[in-house]
Amino acid sequence: MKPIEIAKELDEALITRKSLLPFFKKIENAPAKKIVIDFSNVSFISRSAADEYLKHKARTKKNISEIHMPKVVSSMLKSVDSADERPFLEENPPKAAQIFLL
Amino acid sequence: MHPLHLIDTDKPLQQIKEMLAFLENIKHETGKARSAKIELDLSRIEWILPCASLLLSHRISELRSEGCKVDITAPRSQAVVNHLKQIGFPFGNEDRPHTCFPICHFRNNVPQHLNEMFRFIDQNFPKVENYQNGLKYVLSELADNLEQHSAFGHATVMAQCFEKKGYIDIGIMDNGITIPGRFEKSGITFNEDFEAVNLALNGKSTKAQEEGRGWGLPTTSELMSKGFKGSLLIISRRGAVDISTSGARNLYKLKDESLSGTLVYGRFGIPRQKVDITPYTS
Repeated sequence: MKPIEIAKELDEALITRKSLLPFFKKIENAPAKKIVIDFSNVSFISRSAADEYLKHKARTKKNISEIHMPKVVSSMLKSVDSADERPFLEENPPKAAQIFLL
Repeated sequence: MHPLHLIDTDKPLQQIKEMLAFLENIKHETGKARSAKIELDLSRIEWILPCASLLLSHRISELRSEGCKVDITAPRSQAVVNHLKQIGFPFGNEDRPHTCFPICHFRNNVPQHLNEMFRFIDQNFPKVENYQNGLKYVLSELADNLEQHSAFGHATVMAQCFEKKGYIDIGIMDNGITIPGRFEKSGITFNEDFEAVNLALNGKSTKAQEEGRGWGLPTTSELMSKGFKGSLLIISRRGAVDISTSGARNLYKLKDESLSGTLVYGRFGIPRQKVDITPYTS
């Protein structure tokens, strides 16, 4: 199966979790067991979309690999993959300065 | 006829307060009948910030989609008239001056509209290394929250670069369930609405059972204040949190008004050199 160009399927910036769902549905329905995702022309991936991508990749029975991944995408995927379980501020919330009536 | 008075200020919260009071007034008028007509008098405005324009244009667009006729008396100040035209007030604009991504209303297709905005940012906003990525980081997290949590029917987004003043203002407004409303629906308890907004900024998520959730707002607030030396204001229902450039938070309880939705308004300082966003986003 030839590589799937994710920017052509979705858009240049991968922004929301929900936007990835049809893409992964297409992958699941593809007959091939080995899928190559081409990240050419992807200009940006959000943290949420990166998290969603990694979750789908971990869950699927397909063997997924990537090509032409720009640094802006690889660094976000790496950042999300290596993050702690809970957002840091939940453990150490900043102290609120004051409460006002508006 | 409803006259709008706005204080001449660069401080978003002051104009937002006045705009919320104005919207509360017209709420009584427009609640009467679906095909009501409403007259808005903007003649006395001397200066209107993007946050106030965003709130008002969002409401006007909603009213129009509900079948209400809106007549607007233009500002007497030609400078304000020109500014409103530039930002596409109230229904949006095909023309995109390089300093402004005009008001954009939408009901669905969040990624498509944000992609348009990102292309605009790529071509027009300051090209300091990593700065545009930082802007996109914040916008994309807010967009994902909009899609995931808000159950919105109508949303509005805009961005304006004030290069001489050294900042970019970006706003995103929706008419959804609100942060407090979403928390109530999910069984997350709190006393005041500003507590709910504050909890969300600390990472409290209605999808806490899923790993990787709750990162968007905390990392956004850290990046805005510490990375960009900017500020972030979130107003949702009757609560507001204002995060200053130092990262300090002021919490607000809306006394007489409430916002039927959520407004997120960020002011990003424009740096002179490369910005490293990684410490704030990981």
